[in-house]
Amino acid sequence: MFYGNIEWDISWAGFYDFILNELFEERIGEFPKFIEYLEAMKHVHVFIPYKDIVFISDRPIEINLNPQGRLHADLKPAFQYSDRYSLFYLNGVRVGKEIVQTSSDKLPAELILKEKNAEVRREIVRKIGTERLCIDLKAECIDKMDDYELLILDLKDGRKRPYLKMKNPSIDTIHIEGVHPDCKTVAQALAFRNGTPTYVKPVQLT
Amino acid sequence: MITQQGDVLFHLEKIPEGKFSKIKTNVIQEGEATGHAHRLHDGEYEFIQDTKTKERYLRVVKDSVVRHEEHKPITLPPGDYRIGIVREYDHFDEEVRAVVD
Repeated sequence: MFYGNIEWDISWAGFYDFILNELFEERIGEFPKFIEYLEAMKHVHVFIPYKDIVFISDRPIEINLNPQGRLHADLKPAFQYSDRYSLFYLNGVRVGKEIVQTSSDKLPAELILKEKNAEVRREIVRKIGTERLCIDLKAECIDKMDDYELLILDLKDGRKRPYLKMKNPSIDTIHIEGVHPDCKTVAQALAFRNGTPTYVKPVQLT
Repeated sequence: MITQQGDVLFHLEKIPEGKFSKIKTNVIQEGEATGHAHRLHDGEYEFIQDTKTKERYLRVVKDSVVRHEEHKPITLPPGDYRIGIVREYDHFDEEVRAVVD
């Protein structure tokens, strides 16, 4: 099945439109079908032509992108037509409506255990946040040292993901960061984090 | 020997031979999301970058203070330091990256 998207045609149509209007304005009348097509481009988005019938859609009423130019919108559709047909995307990844339209604090962490697609899982984590994921899914503490804990997050997908839980010594806040899968102790996790072969305790840490 | 303020590490080590360019700012690291920054104050120092490896070094001549909005200040005694940024592992993108606050 052939189908077209007007966005694809804009480049070539714009080229000929420019030539016709700027160089051969007096010959515009010789190309009525092209002029008709240019007019249609203003209103049509996607078209699917068959022998005796062409299915068309109007242009979307809303398109939302992230700063990288990928389809993205939280709590609303990234892409919507006037009849409310919508597509939901997070950072360029097509996800289910419920993931987008549920606020991050109400999105259940268990959702990640059911999701099979790795990209969708990544977006769920990004939305829920690593901290809440580790807390809600009861990441297991396997080592402690000073104010640090090494947590293992098991998403029942055959991989154990270690996270380092730490306290900001200056403002008393807790945060959690992922560390390399080979880390088995807090010391190994800190060495990975600091980019040193073994853990070296800082002489000053604030 | 390491001195650490939040995500920034100061490794006390000899600056290797090479070609260096001067970094004309007192900002060691700026947070993308918060706009908070690790800044050098007071003291006497030279902030340089290896033109080949892009590694950044700090040659502290007199005690210099590093301040940040969310961390207590640290004082760097005279010496040569390599600047490091802590890393994290993204288990879903499967990649190592510098921590960005």
